[in-house]
Amino acid sequence: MIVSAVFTKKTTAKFYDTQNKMNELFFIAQLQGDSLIYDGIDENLIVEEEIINTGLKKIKVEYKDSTQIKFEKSFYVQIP
Amino acid sequence: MVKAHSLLYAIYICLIVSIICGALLYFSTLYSQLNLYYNLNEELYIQNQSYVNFALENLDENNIMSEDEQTGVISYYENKPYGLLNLLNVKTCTKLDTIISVHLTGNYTNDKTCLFIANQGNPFYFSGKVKLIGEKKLPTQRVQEKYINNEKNSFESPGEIQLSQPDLPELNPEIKLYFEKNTIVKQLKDIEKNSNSIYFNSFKNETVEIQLPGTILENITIKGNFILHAKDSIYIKNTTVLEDVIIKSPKIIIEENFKGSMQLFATERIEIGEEAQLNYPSVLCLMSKTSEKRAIIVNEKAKIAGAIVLFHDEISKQNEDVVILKKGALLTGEVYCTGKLMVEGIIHGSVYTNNVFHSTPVSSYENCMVNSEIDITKRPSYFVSIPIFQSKNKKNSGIFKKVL
Repeated sequence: MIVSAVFTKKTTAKFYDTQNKMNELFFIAQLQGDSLIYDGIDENLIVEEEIINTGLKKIKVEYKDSTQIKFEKSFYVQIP
Repeated sequence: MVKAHSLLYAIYICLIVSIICGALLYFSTLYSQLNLYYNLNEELYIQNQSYVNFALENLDENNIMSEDEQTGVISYYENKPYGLLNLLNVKTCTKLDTIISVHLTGNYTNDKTCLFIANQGNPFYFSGKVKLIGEKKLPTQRVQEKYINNEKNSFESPGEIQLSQPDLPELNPEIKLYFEKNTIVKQLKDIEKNSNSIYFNSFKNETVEIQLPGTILENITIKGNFILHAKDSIYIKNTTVLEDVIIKSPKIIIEENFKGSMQLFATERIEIGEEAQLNYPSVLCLMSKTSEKRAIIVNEKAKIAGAIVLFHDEISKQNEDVVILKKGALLTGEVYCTGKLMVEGIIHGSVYTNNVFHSTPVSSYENCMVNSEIDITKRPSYFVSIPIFQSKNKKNSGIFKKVL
């Protein structure tokens, strides 16, 4: 019961680590508009960019690994 | 043989162990709940910031709602004018929590024009040391010299010179409407100060309009979402702290060494004292309604970051109204003037004017710039401009600052 209460999927260190990586991507994308920045950060991260209009793009980030934790997140970033 | 009270001891020990285990479980649950709370907040902040980016590129539409399917986070925004600036209010919420962020926004500009003088068939002269760096639109492509004050002339003018159109670019019509708005005004005594004796109104609330009791404003701190009205004139002393407020009065005079950021709207005169500093984004806006001469005067060594706008009620009408930037004064931003402009100071940005002049104690020289510097290249690349021109395209917006 303790294990199930404390170490749920959303409270593991792994979860926070991945979540932080994805949030970090948002801030990096805001600072630098170049898609090359995502290379080499983590091979389990899949980043897709969709141009909404001349000044805006939507970035979809997906994370998958062997522990079956799957994240999906999308955010808007201005194109400089 | 087991003693009779051993059972009691065993029960006590079991009780203590269960209390310890329960406490551990309880603390773990609290810890995980706290983590989830922080997690949710972080998610909300990021979604809010992301939606601010979305809103900045879609300011011509209002109240677009968006729901993130993965997280269930709902975001929506509202855009409304605040003086010459825009106020962008973005709300992001879940069932448990809501986050609101408010930003003052304007437009990024790629305007390379340093000087535009409307083509009304007049020649253009310079005298003394004049620097005009950037593209220029002038009434004539040939700039002639004039000798005033027995000084050596030098004219530095990299950038193309083109012939200008007879009229200035059209001003944003909402600026004129802003002068005509009449709303319910409260008295200053009816407004509550907060614990630090500061008048503060959050930009999350409705704008509060205050009628000032006298003609002098001193020893007072007013910050945030306020419009201050004065009937005839207002003299703002340098003991006053004003941040992000709007001031409306026929005459507005700012004392020397004043520091603050605000938008000034007048119909007769605006004067900024020596070494006063109006921080980014500040606006000096004067709408002239009569044929009498109106003026915006920026005295020696004053610094302004934002825009100076002077126009007549009938925008196309050329008149004798003046904008004067005295020696050592620095403006970073734009000047729009349907009257005449005299620049002895420095402008890092663009100037749009119907005419220029230079005045000395003994005489006045029309169509002439003397010891002036206008340099568009020194306007920072991250500078967000005040939206003073009519533009249907509200894209490429930027944030002046985040406000509370």
